Amino acid sequence: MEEELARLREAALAEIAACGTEAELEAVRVRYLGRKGSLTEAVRGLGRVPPAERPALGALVNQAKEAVEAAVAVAGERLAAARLAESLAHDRIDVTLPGRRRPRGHAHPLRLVEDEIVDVFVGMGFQVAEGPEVEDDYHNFAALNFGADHPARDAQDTLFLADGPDLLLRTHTSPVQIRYMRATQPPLRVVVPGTVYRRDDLDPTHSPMFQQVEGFMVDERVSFADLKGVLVHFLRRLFGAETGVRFRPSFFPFTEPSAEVDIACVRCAAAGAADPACRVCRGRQWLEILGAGMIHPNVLRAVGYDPETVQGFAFGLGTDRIAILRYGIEDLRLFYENDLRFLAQFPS
Amino acid sequence: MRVPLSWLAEFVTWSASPQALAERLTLAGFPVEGLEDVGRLDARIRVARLIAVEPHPHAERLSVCRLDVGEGAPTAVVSGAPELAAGQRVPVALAGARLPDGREMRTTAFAGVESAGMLCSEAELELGDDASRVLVLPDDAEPGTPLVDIAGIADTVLELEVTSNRGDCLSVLGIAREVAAASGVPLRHPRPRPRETGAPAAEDVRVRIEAPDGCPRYCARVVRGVTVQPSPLWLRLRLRRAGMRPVNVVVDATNHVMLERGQPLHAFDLERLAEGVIVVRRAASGERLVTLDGTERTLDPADLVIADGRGPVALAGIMGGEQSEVTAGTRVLLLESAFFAPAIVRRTARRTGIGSEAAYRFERRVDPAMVPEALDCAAALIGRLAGGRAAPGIVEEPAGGWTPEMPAIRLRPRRVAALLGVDMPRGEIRRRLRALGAECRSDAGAFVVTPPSHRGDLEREEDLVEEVARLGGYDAIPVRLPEMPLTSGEDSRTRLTARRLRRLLIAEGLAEMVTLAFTDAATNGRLPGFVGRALAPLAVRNPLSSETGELRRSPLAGLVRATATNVALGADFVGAFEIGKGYGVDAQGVRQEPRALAAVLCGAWPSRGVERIGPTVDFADLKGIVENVLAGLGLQEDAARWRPIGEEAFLHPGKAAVIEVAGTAIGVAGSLHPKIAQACDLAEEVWVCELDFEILADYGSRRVELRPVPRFPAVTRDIAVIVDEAFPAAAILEEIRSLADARIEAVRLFDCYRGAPVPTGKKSLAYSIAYRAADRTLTDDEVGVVHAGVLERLRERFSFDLRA
Ligand SMILES: [Zn+2]
Repeated sequence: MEEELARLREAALAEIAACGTEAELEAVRVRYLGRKGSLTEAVRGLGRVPPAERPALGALVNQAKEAVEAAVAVAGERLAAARLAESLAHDRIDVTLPGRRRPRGHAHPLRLVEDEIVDVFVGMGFQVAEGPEVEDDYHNFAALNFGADHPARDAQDTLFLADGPDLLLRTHTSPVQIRYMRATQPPLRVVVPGTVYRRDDLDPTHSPMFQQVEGFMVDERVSFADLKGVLVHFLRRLFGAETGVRFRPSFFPFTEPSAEVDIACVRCAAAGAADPACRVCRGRQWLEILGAGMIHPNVLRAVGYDPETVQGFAFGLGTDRIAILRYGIEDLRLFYENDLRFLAQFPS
Repeated sequence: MRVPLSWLAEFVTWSASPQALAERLTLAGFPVEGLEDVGRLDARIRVARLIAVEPHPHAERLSVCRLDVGEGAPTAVVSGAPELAAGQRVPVALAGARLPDGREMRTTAFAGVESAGMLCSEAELELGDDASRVLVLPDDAEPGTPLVDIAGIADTVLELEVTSNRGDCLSVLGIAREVAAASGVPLRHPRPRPRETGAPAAEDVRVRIEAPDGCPRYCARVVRGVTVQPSPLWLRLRLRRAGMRPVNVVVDATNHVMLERGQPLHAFDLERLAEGVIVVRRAASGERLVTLDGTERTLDPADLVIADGRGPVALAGIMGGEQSEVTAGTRVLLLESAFFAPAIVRRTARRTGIGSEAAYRFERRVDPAMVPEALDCAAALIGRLAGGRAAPGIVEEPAGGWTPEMPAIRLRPRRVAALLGVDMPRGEIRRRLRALGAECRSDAGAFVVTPPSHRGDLEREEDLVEEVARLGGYDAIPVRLPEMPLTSGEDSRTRLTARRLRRLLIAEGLAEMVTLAFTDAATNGRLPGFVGRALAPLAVRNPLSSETGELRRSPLAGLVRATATNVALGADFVGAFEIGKGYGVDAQGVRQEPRALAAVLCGAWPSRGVERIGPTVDFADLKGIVENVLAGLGLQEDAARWRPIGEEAFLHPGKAAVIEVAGTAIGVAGSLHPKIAQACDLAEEVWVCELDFEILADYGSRRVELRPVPRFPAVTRDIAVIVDEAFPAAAILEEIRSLADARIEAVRLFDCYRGAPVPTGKKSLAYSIAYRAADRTLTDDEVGVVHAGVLERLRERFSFDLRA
């Protein structure tokens, strides 16, 4: 028995030493230490040994088992290390192969810009409101102090609907001013993004449909100086803290005093000098960006406010125009033709 | 408006560069669009006196001209121009001169005769359109003088925009007034008067106003003995530079006065006016008039006309008639200057489509006080240029003249401060108002302001506040942030939902589109979509083309069209969505603009790596996107039921579904009806869906309900069935779910197989059921019991071959 044990042990250690792979090592382990392995059998064989011999023989069996187990462990580590070294030395992938991608979606530039604009005003405490695109003459014109024969009411400029003599596609977001103020008492500050329409064919500089953002603020004392403050803040958030902003007198039926607001040409400013041939400002150095003014007393009256006790300002800007400046786009049609090769250039 | 600076300088003197002047006007509310240098001719283009004109010895059509160009011996130039005569002053471009078109002159020989330069036409010098003859200069032009040094040749033209409320600035004088007010310098306002001779005008002409609402003031002058000829160079240049075409000296003189003083005038050939009467009246229905442009027009009773003893001779304030037109043979003129009501002129101008310079000014209100003054200016100018003799007196109706009473407007300094947000001294307010020509007197702490007659736009206190602010410049008003209670702003629910949906769909790989709300009637009829399916279409009354004839009922109208465009441009994959509106009228006759989320998939997915192209898109792709969107909004995974759609106008009846949640249809998805795809030139299958935005917004605003994370393991059992091809796979899922056993955690279809050994016309479906209890590990026995119950229910319910 003892010799047999010694022989087993020597054979096992030799076989372990000879193992070249972890699979071979595992086979050897099973042959000696597995459920039916020789050493396991030997342990089982102890039962047939006379009881007096068992302790000594048992110790020998255990020694042999532990020696083999230790050898397996050592060989295992050796072989794992060798396998790792082998892998590190030889396994190579082509990292330049293309990645496996899911298609990437894109937001429309007009929506990106609209969100940007709205977010600035929401950050200043403005509420967001919306209104219908199919409007009537009262909300689109009359309540906004357009005289009965104001040229803007012309069928040349406005798309009318066949359903009623008064029905039209709103030409600006200002009707929402009327709807909102009629339903709400000051103080209020509201911003209104939306789609508006004009009777134009789609060409590089015109579209029958475009986007506007309207804003207004009314309380007991809000003044032209406040209007300047809010718009300067807005424009600098949008175009950069250094952006030059200027206010020029202008005329709109629904504001008095009225102003046109310009920003310094973004391209010339970036270049550090006015470029007489600049294709963005055409050498004028300033870009018309929005219209604004103090809400006309006739408009305040139309919504049931008393112009002697409340006053406010309103402004409107073209989202398309800001997107054009923001992305350096020269053709308005790109926004509405939805060529995926154009859209795919915008971030997700 | 185009204003030559040399003309402006006759009325005001400013001490600034043209650029600074442009800036000043821009900031005063007249944005300058351009500053154009004109007539800056090369100094080697000179005045020459023709000493002699002789035929060319060898060339029939050429002449050899000997010129006095102010220095040394005469210069010889060969010319092919007609009508050359000794003594004329003409421009010559000498060798080395550069013409406006860039050509450089050289000494050249023509058939053996050397030419030291070229005699120039006005077209070659860009001073006019006539290229047929050499420009003849005034006789007082000194030979040798560079043309550019002759007064009126070189100039700078301001091109500026005048807003529709400032009709008073549609003239050189009006702009000069603004320059004077903005710069604090005096205005020069000369008032020329004609020398009057002969019989009084009233003997030749009678004026009657039958429509005083349309014409509260009419003035006429008679000028006898005119010679109608081309205008002198300076006048032609001025008109051209101001944007008008020279016609003849009479017409040009009236246009000159209009451009200078803002009052449109009209000259009639008095001898062609019947009975020497002028009647201002409404047109009779069906009356006809051939206008100066040669068009016969049928008049409307709303039109205001000027009539003579026979009938209409002019559309008042818009255009004269051909029959009384001033021609080369005209000897006696009737000059008309009137105030025509803006609204009436505008209506007729719109109706007839005539956009004349006169109508443009009358529509914006002319200055009533300018009516006789302009008439005098024109008569004086015609007297000077056309040899006319003004008959004594202005024939005027109403007899005493008419100037409207200007409103007396109360202006409170505290109102100025409140609106502008800045305190302004009373003296400064008064100074600015007076600079505009307004009368301004103090009254109980306020001002009472009467605007000058040319400022019809000033009607109320706020108008004056604007003027006060405008004259100081808006830049002088401080920039201040409002003081208000610190309340939070809030985006709208609609927009917040849209933003969320946008993120979800972009994550699915789709591109967002914004398409036009218009479509044609045929497409709109074929494509009702989902949210607009019950709406009647809304038609545009005045569309520019049939393509924009109606408002779409479904955003899919735009998306399908954009898909076709992209496919035509070569796109292999179109995956897009739009969050937009449908438009229409509901059964109650109420206009509706329901919002929808619409999406489209077409083609094959882009390659995902090392492959030529990805798999072709199919219904499962679309359904997966919709399911992810619903899940992204917080809807339970199994909340939506997809029912075969059956008959549907715009979808393939066998390849589309209605999506229902809790018994309510929330949208549809499927293959676009082949007929529609065909009509849009789409050969490929197009997968579309449209969901009701408002319902989605409701899901999106719900609170998240959390379930505990499982702590005990699940046991999975699979089943497989062989069913008819038509059997809906979801039936088994729904049946198992309907057992409502809390231990059935999830059921999933994991295989759908057709082909041997499954018989033809059948398919094999394999499901995996996960069993789990929240509070313990399920034993094999317990799972066995529940699973047996599942099998029993399926066998009871369905008659298929079930393999557990
Ligand atoms: Zn620029």
